[in-house]
Amino acid sequence: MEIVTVHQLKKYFGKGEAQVKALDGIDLSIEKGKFTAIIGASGSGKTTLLNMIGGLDTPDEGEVIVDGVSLSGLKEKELAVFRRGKVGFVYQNFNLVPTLTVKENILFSLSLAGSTPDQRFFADVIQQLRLEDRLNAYPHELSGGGQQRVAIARALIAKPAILLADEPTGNLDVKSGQNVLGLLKMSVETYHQTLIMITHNLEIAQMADRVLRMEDGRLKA
Amino acid sequence: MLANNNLKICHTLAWRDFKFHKAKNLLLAFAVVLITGLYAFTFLLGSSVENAYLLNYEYRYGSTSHILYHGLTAHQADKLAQHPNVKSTVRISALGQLSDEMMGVRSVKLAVTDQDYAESILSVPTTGRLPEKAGEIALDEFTMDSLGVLHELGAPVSVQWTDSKGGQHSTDFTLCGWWASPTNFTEACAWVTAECAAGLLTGYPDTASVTMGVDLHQPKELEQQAQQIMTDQGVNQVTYTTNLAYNEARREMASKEATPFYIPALVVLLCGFLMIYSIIHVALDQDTRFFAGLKTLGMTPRQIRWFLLEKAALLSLFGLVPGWLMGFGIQYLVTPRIVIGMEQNPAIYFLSWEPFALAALSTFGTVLLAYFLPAVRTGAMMPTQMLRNLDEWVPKGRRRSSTGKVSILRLALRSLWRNKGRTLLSLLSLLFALLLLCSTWIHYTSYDEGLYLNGMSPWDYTIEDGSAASTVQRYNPNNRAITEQIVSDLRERSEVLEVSVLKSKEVELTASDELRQRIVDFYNEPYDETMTRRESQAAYPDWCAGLDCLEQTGSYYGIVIALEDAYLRYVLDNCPVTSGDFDAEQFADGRYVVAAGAYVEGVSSPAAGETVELGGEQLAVLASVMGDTSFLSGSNSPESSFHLIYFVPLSLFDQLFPDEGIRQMAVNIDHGGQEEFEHYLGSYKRGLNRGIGVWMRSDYQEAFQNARLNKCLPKMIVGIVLMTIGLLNFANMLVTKTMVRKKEFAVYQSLGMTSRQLQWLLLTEGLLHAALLTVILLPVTFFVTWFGMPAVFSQLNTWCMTYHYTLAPLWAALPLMLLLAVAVPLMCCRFIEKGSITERLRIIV
Repeated sequence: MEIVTVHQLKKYFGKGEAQVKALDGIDLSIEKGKFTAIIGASGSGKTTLLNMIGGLDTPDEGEVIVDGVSLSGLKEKELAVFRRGKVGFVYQNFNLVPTLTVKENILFSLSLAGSTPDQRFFADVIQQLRLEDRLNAYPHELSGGGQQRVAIARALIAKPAILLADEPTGNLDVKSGQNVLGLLKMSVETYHQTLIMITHNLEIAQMADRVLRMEDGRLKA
Repeated sequence: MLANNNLKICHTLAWRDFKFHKAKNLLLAFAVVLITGLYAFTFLLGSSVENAYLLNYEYRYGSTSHILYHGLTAHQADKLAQHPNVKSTVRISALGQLSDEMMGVRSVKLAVTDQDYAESILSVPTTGRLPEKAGEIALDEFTMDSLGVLHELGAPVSVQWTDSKGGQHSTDFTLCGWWASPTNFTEACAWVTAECAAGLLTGYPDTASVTMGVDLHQPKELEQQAQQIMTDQGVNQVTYTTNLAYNEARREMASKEATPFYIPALVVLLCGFLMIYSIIHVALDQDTRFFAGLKTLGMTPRQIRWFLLEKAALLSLFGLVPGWLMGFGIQYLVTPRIVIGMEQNPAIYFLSWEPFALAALSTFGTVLLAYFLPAVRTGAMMPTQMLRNLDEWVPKGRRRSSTGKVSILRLALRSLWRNKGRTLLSLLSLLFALLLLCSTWIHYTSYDEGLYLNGMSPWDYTIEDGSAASTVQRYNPNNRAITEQIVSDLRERSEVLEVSVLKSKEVELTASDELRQRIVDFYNEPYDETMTRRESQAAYPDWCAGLDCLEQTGSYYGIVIALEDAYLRYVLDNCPVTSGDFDAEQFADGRYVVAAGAYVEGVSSPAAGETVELGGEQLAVLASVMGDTSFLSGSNSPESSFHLIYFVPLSLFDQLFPDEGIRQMAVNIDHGGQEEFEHYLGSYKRGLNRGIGVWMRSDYQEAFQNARLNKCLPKMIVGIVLMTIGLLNFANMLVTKTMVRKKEFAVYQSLGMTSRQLQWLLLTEGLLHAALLTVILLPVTFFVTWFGMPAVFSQLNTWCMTYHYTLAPLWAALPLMLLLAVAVPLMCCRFIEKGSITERLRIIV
């Protein structure tokens, strides 16, 4: 079953001679529950594609359908609600809210909606990610690996259908990187989610169910 | 679906932001204090000026009551007081009116003491007390001086008064108290006890006329309400007046007069916005990244707006109390310089909560605007679009061939062209501030105190008899507050250069047929195309009656004025000769007079060579002049409204009319001894048991300073605020340009730049920015003011100004700018070198 469908997706940056085709007519389908890795050189359009799928950017042409919802017709508030519930983001630089504690960061998406977390699920997630003892700490009090674990917990807490990860291990040492990757894979398997991850690391890419290679805004076989 | 919009999380985020960004928020709080202070000051000052105008109208009306009903019976007063529109009343029973001929045009009621009513017409004794037993009377100082009453408790007072039926009475009292009531003309009272009234007026209190002051629940449309109350209560044929302070037209006028004092609020809005915005701007990239992150996590635009609203509200809340205190402090110092003539500080007297509330609301609005504009700009953007739009500097333009060698100066020069928008913002705010301050300062320094003092008073001091201290008082020659002794004492003082005495005497004269015909013909000549000179005076019945009397009988009033020194010089300088020539020696000889008629060309008095009989002496007219007697204190009797003036030397006057009192004196002093002389005059006045009026040089100087300040202060405040904002923007620009390049400096250092070289780089950048701004500000300010101000000055058309060019504000601002250019980069060094080079290299930019 397809959870993401991308049709003739195009995105341009700049104008005239300086125009860059970040995405140049992408057609893509991603199956539910699979781990998809996207690899490619810098500037090949990986992050732009991921942003389009996550509803963080709008295409110039084409369509993105996630879990049956076409993103092109959504208004700003609807997009915000989509991001809260349908997708979980994990970034290379963590993007945690520095003024909130670990627990507040994890529950942030739910707080925005005024929802209360499933306590068993919450306990399960923080146990899996080994965050039980650091719930009242602020992000800057954690190591890079610790911060990324918080980011993963935050991405998981709303039980999204898709996890989008943009080089989640890029800022971590090898050991922490392996830990984070293991956690992500475990989460996907445990909670039956779809993982789409950008990576430069071929070893990580080999662990994926499917590898997509991007070059100059296009998918290469 | 997680579709709800929870706003509680916004509250948490707003509070945490304060906790985590203390330095930035402290700076913002300081800015908010400044903004609140300026708003509070502006609104408090505007409110004080507006209320001062209303108080002035109330003073002119003479009562704090909304409506005054006159000529009531006690029964009618009771009925009116029961009307539902009436909130409270005060009343007096008047026996009649003082009718001594020396009262002039003033109307003073002889009334039974009522403390509440006395308070409502500001007529409570400040020396002594209200009467408590029969035979006691309390008066205002004008009345005392007009009647020649000694300023001593227990002094005898002889009062002539007329009851409501026209009966004339003369009663002797003992003075038990008095008060100064310089503007309370319409509702003056002389207080006696009820016991005394019963003895003086048969049938009291039934025969007394009641005056009732009414306060309404809704003091609007007073005329209609006054009439309505009478109609509803069936009270007719009574007169009433309404308080000027509640008159719609007067209120509009007060509001209009106060408007210039409110206008700086607009500048505070603009400057406050710029200040907050520029502080927020320092961390704009960081904030944009933060908002993009929040949006990524599903925060809706409404939640972002609410978060900003809470931040703005919290920030405004932090700054409120200190801002209010600051605003009140400034207004406490400034308002007494603008609202003058009050015993209590007007800043306290007119204090109310509304300006504070308005200041709080305005501050909140300003802060919100500064927070919202960037948010609105980025609000409609997708998170990734926000990040793409971050202000990253990219070198533009033609590349010059270079040796590739980079010096500190070259690096610093490159920074000049970064963030041109911020440089322009700083430049423009400084330029506007300088132009406004320089033009206002030129305006301010061009006011000429010498011209003002000469225009307001030809001499340094005027000392006048208490009965002639105001124009509504009739001069009473018997008051004799100014004695020959004080004249002599003054003349002996070392700092006194000249003492000129003026005496006057009203005399009944008979005109020759020739003079009578000449004057009648003169006033029958056309005034303009529609009327004769006589007809133009129709509004003055006493004057017309005097001219009719002259025409029919030849008899008229002459005012003989004895002049010497300063007064004589004034007449010669300001009264054009209409016949004959003035010869000082002949005039001093004592056989000549100078006659004066109307201040119109043509002879309207005895002409040169004719004679006039004064005090039984036939005197020749040396010259006739156009009569200007604006220097004369007080007024003459209503009967002498139409008169001719005869100026005579003092020696001749004393010979013709021995034992006449001195009406007034003009004193000129060596200005070096001003303080000592005024101290002497003050002591003299306090030690005197009769009223005198003293116009001091320092009074005029103070009036000049106040008038000058009044004209320039609002613009000066705006200019200073704008200059502060301009300098803050300049400092902020330097901070921003430095702080956003933290990673860039880490790169320099990683490549071998020493801390000292980095400091030099930043210092050079600061100095180059200061130099760039100076190169633009200096010539632009000079050219605009040098060529523009004379044109503005010619439009001002003010009689007491002498154009004075100055660029003082520019010279004051440039060193401040230089100081900031040096201090800010050096202070920034500490922050940009915080953390190791590798840590700084990891910063995301």
